[in-house]
Amino acid sequence: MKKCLVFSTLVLLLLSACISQDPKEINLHTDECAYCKMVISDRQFASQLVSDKGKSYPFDSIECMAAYAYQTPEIAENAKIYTADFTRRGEWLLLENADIYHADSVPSPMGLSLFALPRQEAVPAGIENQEKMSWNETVNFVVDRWNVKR
Amino acid sequence: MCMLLIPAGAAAQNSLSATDSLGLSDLAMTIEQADPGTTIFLEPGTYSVNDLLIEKSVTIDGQNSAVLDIGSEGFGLILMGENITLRNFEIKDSGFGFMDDYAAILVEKSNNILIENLVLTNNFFGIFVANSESVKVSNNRIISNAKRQTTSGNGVHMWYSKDVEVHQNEITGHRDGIYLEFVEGSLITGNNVYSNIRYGLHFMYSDDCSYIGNEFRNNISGVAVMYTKNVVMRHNRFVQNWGANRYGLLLKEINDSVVQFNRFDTNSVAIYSEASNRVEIEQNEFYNNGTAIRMMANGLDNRIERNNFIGNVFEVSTNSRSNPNHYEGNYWSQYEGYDLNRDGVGDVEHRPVRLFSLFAERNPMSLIMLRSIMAGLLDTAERVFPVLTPKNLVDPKPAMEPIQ
Repeated sequence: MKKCLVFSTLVLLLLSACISQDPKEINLHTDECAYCKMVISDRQFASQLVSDKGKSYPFDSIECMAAYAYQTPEIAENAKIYTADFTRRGEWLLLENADIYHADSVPSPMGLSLFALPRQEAVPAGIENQEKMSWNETVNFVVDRWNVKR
Repeated sequence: MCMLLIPAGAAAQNSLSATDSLGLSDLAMTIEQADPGTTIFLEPGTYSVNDLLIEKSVTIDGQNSAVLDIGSEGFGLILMGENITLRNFEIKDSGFGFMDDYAAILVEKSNNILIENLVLTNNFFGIFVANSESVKVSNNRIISNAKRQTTSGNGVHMWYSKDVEVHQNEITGHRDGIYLEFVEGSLITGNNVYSNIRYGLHFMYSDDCSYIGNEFRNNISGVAVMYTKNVVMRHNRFVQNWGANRYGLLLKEINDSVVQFNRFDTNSVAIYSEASNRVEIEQNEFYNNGTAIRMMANGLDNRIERNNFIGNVFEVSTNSRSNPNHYEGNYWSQYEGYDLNRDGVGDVEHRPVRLFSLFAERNPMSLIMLRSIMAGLLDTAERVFPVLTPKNLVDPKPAMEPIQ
């Protein structure tokens, strides 16, 4: 009985270890954005949702992720949301640890000029008139600008 | 009016050796001293340039033997003015950065710019145009090496501009060959765009643009056109875009546009259309593609007429049982009907969606069975009594012979 218990605990641990909501690395120039189908090339603007089942939905931009999250709340609700660190190549920021900005001079892949920095970090020199947005504000902004329908 | 700038030759006064770093200040000084409207001829040799700002209306002519070397740092030439012409020289080795879009030639807030007969080698971005009007880029060779794959910029990049023309350029080894975002009224003709690491041509939010007689070959992801209306695409060739997620032409939210007289040869998917409305796909040639047209059912009133579908594995595939589009008068090499009254039009309708394409979609491994007898039987049975494939996706008047 004891053996059985130990064994089943181990199996459970193993299984739970399989579901990770860590960000998956994106293959640049190969992976497609789950929303707009564009091939993802700009690591600086890349984003992803990782669902509670551990599936990663990659996006080329924060705006696409926001539109996707709006259209598929069933996936977005329990997903972990990651954005690229605009200033550090190859880093992922969990939404809770990130600030999202909008600044017209920043050429994001889908043209809505959204980018993310670690929380409380200063905006790099050369970017002007940036506006900080919460996630909800970001989603509303994208839905409004693109007229996204559910 | 013309001036002569001499980089080499000890005999001439005011001359510098070709490798002399003073070449920069010399070129800058020459431009400064020139009257507006002057043509500055560069003598053969290498000039080093870095962020060289040109605001005056001048023509710089390299006489096909001058080389401008950026030295892998920053921009080459920065144009901010009107009536500026650059021609007949080579410009190479711009800087490349994670944060900055360095380009061999940056055109910003300018008007009436002509860039022709240049060779641009190993630059991050080739020609970067922003907030400008009336810019013409023609007969240039824009070549980057593949070594810098992940950091490669676009060959010709245009952003928030109006009335641009891109003619007869050769573009290879960049990220997107030609990229347009928020560009109004452009004419893109006769370009040869091949082996770029993303799209041969990529544009978004660029209404009223025409693309005529270009060839897009072997670019990693083919051509993508998105979120735009009034696009004209005629006489282009889309060739050899093979692999997962690769399309000869990806149409995403394209409205009121024309795709005519193009040739699609050997692509995984020749045309992928999503949420596109009122697009006329007429008189194109589809040869040897995996899927000729993949039409998602979220687009309406597209017309697919008088095209030749020859030797494609799947002629049309879709994701729905309804068909909001119109197919008529195409030649389908998979058509098995007959023409008893010999009017050149098949007497029975053609169903271009094969049952097997549905299986292949749900389970890609089943493609192994593509040529099996069973798959053939199922396809035939489905054509006679359609149960799973879209019932009204038919060509009521299939042509018996390829359309000339």
